Amino acid sequence: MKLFDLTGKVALVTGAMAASAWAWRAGWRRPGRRW
Amino acid sequence: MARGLAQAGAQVVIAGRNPAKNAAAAASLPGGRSLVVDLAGRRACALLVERVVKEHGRLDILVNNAGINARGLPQDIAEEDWDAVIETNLAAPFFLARAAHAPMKAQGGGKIVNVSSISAVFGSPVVAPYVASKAGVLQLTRSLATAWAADNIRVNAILPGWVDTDMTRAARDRAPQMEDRVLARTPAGRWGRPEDFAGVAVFLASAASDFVTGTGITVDGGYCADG
Repeated sequence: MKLFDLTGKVALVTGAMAASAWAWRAGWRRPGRRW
Repeated sequence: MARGLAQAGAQVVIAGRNPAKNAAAAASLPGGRSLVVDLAGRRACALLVERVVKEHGRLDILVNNAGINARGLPQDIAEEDWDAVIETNLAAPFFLARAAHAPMKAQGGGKIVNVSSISAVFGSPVVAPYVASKAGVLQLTRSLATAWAADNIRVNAILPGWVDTDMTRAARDRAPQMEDRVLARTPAGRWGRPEDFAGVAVFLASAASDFVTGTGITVDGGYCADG
């Protein structure tokens, strides 16, 4: 067994860092929003 | 984290709200793909897991990384901002994990990695919903770990410290003193970088952590250790 081998595994990752940052900026720019 | 998982051999599906950002992130990964979804929708969480299992035949690793923030003194936080933060940061990880439980159990096990924050242990006057959501994620992690250990599903959390991202850059623009304050308190002498999380993500997603469950690993350059 290779300890750190993920071959053949399927991973679901939510919210790529860039996507999260986009959400922040989108909210930030919305009028009246304090984000 | 996604890049680390891909480099370790996993097929990575990225799910987020912005099609362009999703596609760019997936394109940077070997064999990566992306799906557009707003995780604030609870039904969307179940459908997302269902779709991944249908299209890929299995789901071994779930990384609950999506997060948003809302700044303001508690008395000024709008109701819809509270709801949005709790829904995205706390409810979505729960509903995604719940949807992942059955397929992971059926295939003999799985790994769930929740991204909490050092905010789970520190209070803050201006990001109460975020702090509450991240503390909730840590307790959710412990609860799911105890519930699903017998199903060979391991559930752990990562607690990032201050990381140099677009999100924290925006915060630093609003509060310039934050830059020096974080550096002064961080023994490693720098802000974290997204790539600092690849190793811990691979560890928690792989057989290397098969007896690790219900814990939170702080990745903060020593910020929390410096009392």
